Amino acid sequence: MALFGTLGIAGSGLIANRKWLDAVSDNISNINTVRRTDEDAFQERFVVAQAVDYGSGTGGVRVARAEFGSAEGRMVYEPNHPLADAEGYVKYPDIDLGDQMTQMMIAQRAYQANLAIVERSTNMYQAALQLGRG
Amino acid sequence: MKELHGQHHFATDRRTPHSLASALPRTPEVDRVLLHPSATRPMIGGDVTSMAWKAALSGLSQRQRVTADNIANINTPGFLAGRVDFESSLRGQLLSGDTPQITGGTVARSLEPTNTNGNNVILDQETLIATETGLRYQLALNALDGKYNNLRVALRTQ
Repeated sequence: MALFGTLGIAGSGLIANRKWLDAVSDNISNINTVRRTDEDAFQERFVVAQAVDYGSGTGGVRVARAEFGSAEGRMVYEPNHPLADAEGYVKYPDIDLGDQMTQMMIAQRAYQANLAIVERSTNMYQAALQLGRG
Repeated sequence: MKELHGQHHFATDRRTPHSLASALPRTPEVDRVLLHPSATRPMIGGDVTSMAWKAALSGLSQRQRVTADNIANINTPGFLAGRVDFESSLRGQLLSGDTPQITGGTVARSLEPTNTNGNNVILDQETLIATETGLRYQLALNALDGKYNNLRVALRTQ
């Protein structure tokens, strides 16, 4: 059991949710990234969360890996676009903005919840450090 | 020198003939004194009340760690919330008159229904547990602090 173990566990939650927020912001910032139709579209980023076993490990969560969405994208007819093919199509990434915003809210709330635990456990440890001071 | 028991004399005086070793006075064999269990505990802070508060502090900090683990995994697919129980063993020890031991609680996985990704952590429930655990921890700390203050008063010599 690590000293101040609660802080480490809540910190792992902060890190995992920040990585998720990073992935969401990457997706949103590339939502209008246009590619040629013969290229792969920008692929949506997903993070895979995995629990660190509490009994044998320290507890907490970690991001096991990143996964990538479809490279198919969606075809949009923009004949004046410099990247358009002979039929006038370009490729946009297949990312839904509403879905990304939902994910962002979930990740943000989870981040705040972990931060609340950090504050609460800090208060507990602070109180414990005053023990016997008189 | 002659009042020293055999072992010591034999070790320091190298001129003593080996044959005399058996004739020297020896420490009489005594049965080991069995101490009462209460005497094997530290005198300060080892009483039932202090140990009960310490066991409670240990269990409560473990509960806080498990709650942090639950919240850290609030979006992890397939994660089941952990629940700590230290009260039942502590109550059992106190009811049977034993001095509580700091063993920590047992962690069980919550059997509440899961949502679609197999996770059953409910944030408001965990927040409530975290708040209550923090307050109980403060209570136990204050009680233990009171015990230490009493000790400090008792140790004051004038």
